[in-house]
Amino acid sequence: MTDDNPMDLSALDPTQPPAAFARRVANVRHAAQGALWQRRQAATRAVSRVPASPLGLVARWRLPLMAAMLLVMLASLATLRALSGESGSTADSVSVGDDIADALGVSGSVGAALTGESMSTVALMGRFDQ
Amino acid sequence: MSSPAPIPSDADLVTQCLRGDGDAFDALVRRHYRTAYSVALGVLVHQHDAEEVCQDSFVKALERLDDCRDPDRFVPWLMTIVRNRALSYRSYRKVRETSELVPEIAEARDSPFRDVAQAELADRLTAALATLSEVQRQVVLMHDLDGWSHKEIAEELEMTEVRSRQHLFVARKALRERLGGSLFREYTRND
Repeated sequence: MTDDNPMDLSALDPTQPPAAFARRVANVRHAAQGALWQRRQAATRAVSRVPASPLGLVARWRLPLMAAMLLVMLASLATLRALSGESGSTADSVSVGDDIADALGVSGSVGAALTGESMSTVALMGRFDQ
Repeated sequence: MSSPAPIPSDADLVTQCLRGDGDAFDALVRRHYRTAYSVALGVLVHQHDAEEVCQDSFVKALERLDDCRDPDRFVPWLMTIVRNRALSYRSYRKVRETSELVPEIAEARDSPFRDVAQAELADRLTAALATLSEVQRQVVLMHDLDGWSHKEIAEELEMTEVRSRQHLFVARKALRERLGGSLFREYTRND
């Protein structure tokens, strides 16, 4: 059951004549203006979100990174203050300095210097000579 | 002498359309308008309705283009949209008005770009097509208007190739009986 003679349906061809078809395409394009604009906007936003280089990536994270560093600094300061409040009296540190001095066989002032009391390097070396 | 620029594939044009490229969208419309029109006309019969559904379907396809998972198979995806919208449009028309599915003879003449003879021919053809079943109409339009092969029609309409040939045979016979011999001419292209 075959029929090899096609019907001539060219009168129904929407692509003819060319001028009418151009008008149809223009109508479709006009109706699609909104959707095309939205797609262009979405594409532009997507491009601006993608960093162009590793430096761009770093720059993109600069503000959050700085905020994170600030938080760490604040937390560290709070921890240090809390620890310094628990570290005890000056007498304790002197006692610790004497213990160190005894252990090293040097004078008590060197031990005090090693536990944190300020003293110049020259003075400290002089004490070691004693 | 430089070689002509390669013709972009559907997948290329779809990718460009996703970025909002209007020229790529125009190219897709120009390339597939007749196919979409054949499918819409097969469902709706009325030329004006088919054009309206075509335009609406292309816009809807652009809006939903992210859903087209395989851009190489853009045409079957688009045809699904066209068919669904044509069916919805037909239901809407049935609800809105109770007129039968006989095309209005004057509507094709509304276009200033058609000459009178072509418009009359188009009117007679659409009137004859309206007497066919929907599947016969779709097969004959896809095959004889848009040049689909039976294999492609069988895939699109989910039938066997043999069935597609049978529908075409019956449709052509019915149209010839309805229209008489004056409208036919044999194409030189091989079928």
